[in-house]
Amino acid sequence: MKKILIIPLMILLTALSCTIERLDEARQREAQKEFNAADYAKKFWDATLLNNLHKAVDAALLIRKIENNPAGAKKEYARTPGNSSIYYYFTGGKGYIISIEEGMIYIGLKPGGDEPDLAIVTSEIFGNAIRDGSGLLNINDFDNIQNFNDVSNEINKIVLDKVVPAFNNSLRVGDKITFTGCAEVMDEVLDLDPLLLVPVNVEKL
Amino acid sequence: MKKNTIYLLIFMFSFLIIHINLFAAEKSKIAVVISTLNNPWFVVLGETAAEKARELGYDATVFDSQNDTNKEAAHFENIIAAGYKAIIFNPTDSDGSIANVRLAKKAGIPCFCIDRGINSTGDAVAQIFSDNYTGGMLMGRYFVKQLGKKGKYVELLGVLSANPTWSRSKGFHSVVDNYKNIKMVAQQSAEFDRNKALEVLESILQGHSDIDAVWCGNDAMAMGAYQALLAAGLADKVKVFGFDGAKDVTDAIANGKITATIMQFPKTVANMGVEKADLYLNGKRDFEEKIPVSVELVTQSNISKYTGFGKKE
Repeated sequence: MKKILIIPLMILLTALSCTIERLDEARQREAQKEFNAADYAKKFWDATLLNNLHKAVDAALLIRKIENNPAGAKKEYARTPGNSSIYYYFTGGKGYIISIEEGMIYIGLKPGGDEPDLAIVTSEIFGNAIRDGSGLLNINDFDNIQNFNDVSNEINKIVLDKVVPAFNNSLRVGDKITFTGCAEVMDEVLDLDPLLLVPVNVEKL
Repeated sequence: MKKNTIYLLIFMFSFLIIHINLFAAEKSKIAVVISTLNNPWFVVLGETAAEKARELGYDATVFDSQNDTNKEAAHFENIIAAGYKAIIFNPTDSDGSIANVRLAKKAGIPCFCIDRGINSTGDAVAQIFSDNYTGGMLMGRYFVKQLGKKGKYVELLGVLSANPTWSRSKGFHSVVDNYKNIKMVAQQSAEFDRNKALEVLESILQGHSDIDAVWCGNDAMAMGAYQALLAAGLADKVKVFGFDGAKDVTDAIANGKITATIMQFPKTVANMGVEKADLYLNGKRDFEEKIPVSVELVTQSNISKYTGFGKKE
């Protein structure tokens, strides 16, 4: 009789002492004991990226060059990690808001225009635009490639959680702004006309 | 006199044979160590590397580690003892394989990692790998569109100790986890293996027959998943997404059985590894160590541009 009670009790105690966790989350937790990607991304943002905005190529110059000679613009100003067909621009300047749509703010570099020269992306920010486009992070500084990738994800979170909310609701069509950001070019038909910028800094003038 | 002439001829012939053998022995040897040859993708990777090495004038031998780090270690010991000049290396384990690379480095044999890297810097001369994280991200974007931003899915992971497994998975989740109406109901490793994927998904389907998609970390698992769905009568309802660009999957995309894959370029990766080894053996030393290689999204709308393991010529 005792045995009949003990066995289910043991099974219950065993079940209660177990926790179920997603494989990727468990592995990430282990990895983060040694490397905290969120901390690394924050330090990179505050200490490195914001202090190097002057390295961004002038947007008016870049857009003109892309329009006239896209291959020349790529050769002169783009960054390409490894042996990649994807390339990136780090650019900034002043412009006027032409229109505001869901997830996108369209910018003209001259006042009064209605054709956008570029767009600032404000939602669904994925990929490695800032990590690889700024030219300020080097894959060879990371022993573990996972850490390098995690930093990219954390940088995108900073953009979505801090950068975009700081300007997104206060801007109106016609406002003059100063901006800096990085563009990821995977498809030259879709990504260059207009150039799609992941914002690092946007301020109303 | 006649006798002396015969002796002279024998001497000259022997000298010639010895000289030819010495000349042959001078041909440098390159080892190609592959994690497993039980997967067509890795067969292409290994064979391409060996062919490229032969084309550049080396003797090349392919070693199969059978996904076993101990077998891989034994290969390295034999390679070092046999006097190979360089190792083109596809590791079994991103952490566990570091010791083998260090052992070879200590013995003066440079290693060039292909397709998979190791979690260290300064041990391998170069690490050339597909940009798996971006591949996962590209697939994530397409996956979200295909599911209309809502649905349930299963993820089949590859070998848990291999870097590509997590790079692909994390790239995918960096997109998909932002959509609250897309839910992952199960995540399990099928070790990049077709038969294991079949078994694992069959088991998962017993509790989750209402899924909309299966995201697989490689194409072998995608084919296994498709078989499981076919057996369960769900092949027309559930979308399957793979990663690799293997021939059977590009064919399956063309036939509408698989929804999409990410094309890696094993021939590009293998050739780059061997070319860098050749440059090293000819005196070059300043190499960029970690070199990601582009991958591309292959769907039913652009399948005409692709064939197995690459683009159509």
